[in-house]
Amino acid sequence: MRNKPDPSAAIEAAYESYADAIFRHCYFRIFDRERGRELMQETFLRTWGYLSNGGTIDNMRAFLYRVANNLIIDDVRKKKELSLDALNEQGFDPPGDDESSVVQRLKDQQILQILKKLPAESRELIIMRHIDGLKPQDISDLLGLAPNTVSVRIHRAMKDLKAILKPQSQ
Amino acid sequence: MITLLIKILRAVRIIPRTSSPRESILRPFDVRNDGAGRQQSRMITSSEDFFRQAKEVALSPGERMATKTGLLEKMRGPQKSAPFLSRFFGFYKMTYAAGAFLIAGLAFSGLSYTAEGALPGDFLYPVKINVNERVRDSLATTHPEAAAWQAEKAERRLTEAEKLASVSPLNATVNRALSREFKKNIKNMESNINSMLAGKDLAFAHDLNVAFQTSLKAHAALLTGLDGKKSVAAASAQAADTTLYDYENAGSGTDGLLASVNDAVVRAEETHTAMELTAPDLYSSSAQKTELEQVLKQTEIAVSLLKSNLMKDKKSLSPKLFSFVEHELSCADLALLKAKTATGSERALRLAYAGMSDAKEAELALTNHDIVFEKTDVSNDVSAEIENERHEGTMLSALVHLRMTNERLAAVTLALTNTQPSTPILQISSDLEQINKLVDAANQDLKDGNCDNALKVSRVALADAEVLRTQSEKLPKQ
Repeated sequence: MRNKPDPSAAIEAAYESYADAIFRHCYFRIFDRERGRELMQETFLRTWGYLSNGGTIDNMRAFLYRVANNLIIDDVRKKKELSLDALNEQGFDPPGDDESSVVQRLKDQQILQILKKLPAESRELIIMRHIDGLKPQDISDLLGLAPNTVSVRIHRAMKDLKAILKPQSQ
Repeated sequence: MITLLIKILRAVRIIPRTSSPRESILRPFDVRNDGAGRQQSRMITSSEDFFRQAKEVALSPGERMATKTGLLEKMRGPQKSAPFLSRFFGFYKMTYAAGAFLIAGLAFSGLSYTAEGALPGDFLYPVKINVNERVRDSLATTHPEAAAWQAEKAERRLTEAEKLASVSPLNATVNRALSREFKKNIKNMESNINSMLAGKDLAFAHDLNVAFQTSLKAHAALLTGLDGKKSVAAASAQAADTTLYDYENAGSGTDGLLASVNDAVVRAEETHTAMELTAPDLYSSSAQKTELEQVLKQTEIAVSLLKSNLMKDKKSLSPKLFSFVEHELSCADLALLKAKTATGSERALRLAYAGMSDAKEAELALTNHDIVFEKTDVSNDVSAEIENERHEGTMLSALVHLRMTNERLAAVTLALTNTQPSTPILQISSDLEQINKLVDAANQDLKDGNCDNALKVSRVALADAEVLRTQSEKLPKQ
């Protein structure tokens, strides 16, 4: 039997590898940099809790995305009453007092604006496939859909994205 | 005066020349002033640009450090939970009445939960029968609910008997009591099923009856096994003579109950036959049947149209798109075939809708091909990815086809072993062999990485196996 690695060490290593990716995923899904960071932290904390209770994880990356995905869904559900969309329309991502540069924020804003124009389903898939770089098989596991369906929907999402980018180029 | 001072200072470069000091900081980062005083970063116009920039979004070193420190602190620190005593006293702060209700409720739900596992002779068994099950009796208000619940109750009695008999042979009193209860439940269930037959819940009545029949057979086998002394033959002989067999005559062991179970199986089979005989007329009048027909017809027309379009446009389509659409259409064909041969109109309807959605996917791909599959619009990189995905999809689809084929073949083999010895089954056996060869060939193709071929072969195998299964079901049973 192989020795179980120390959960804290495993999480620290996972943090080094995946913190940015998970943060990006959360940030782009909920359009709020600060909240995205909190959800990313919570994702690692929950995963640590799972490992500490004797759970085993075969694919750390996939597991982290699953936890993050669930947290995002919960978060959106909770915020629905506050009308997240209305808040976002007034101007998402209020400037925080952290040290991320103005330029970075402006760049972020452009990306977020494009993402916001996508239908929710396409947005989710574009983020998972082309920004997070997840395989269609992984996405199908996360969303509980057939791999073929996922592939077809990704193609459709790409079409949506191109339709949004086209007028910008003119 | 002040303007002059500023001009002088500008000239000696103490104040930068630009109107906004921020702009000079931002300039190196592709940010320009749009004239209205707002800064804009360079427009993202291609998806590659978009993905590249999106992937650059990351935590700043400060954020990264702060988050990690917070995480480590939370991991090291004690779990936030109130100590037991303060929770206990906190509980007492509630009003006494609420507390008392809560305790009573908890105690009772605990009691009734524990009672669920009680067996005849246990202290809590009366709670299970007279409280828990009575409550559920009153909850099952419609015929389908009531029928399903009565069936479940009957099975509960059998499970109890099995649990008891696994320890020691059943005594006569328990056997009689359980048999009586079981018969009562069966009778209730049957009357509910009959009411359903008069109404419109045919499919449910049919499914419930089939499921119950299977379950009863399993219980009968288990009880026979537990009884030890009785052979299967003796049990079925008893079952045949079951109308004369009175539970009052039952001795020790499980035979009284077993007889009731076998009786119920026979009656379920009779109901099943009756349903099958009357079903065609009844189904044809139901809304489900017309819906099924409509969906089948629509999808068939759509599939044949798409097929002819596909063939017509073959030259102008990329091979990838062509094979994708072809694949979706054959999936639709298969679903329609299954829908036509399916037993139970609900299942058939589900399959027909699955076929319809496959056809829709095909249509969508065919109308949007310029965006997704044409090389001119997609960079080589992305098209290689799509090819990769298609490859994975084909492999998976072939595997699914093979698994379904194997299921059909298993059903055929089972049917063959259950047929009368004198039935000519030569043709079926040789067909079976042929299909097995196809399956082997498809497996070999998969191993060689020749997924497209594997998919084609496995599709043929599945279609053949499906036909063979329908044939084998018609064989006279033993």
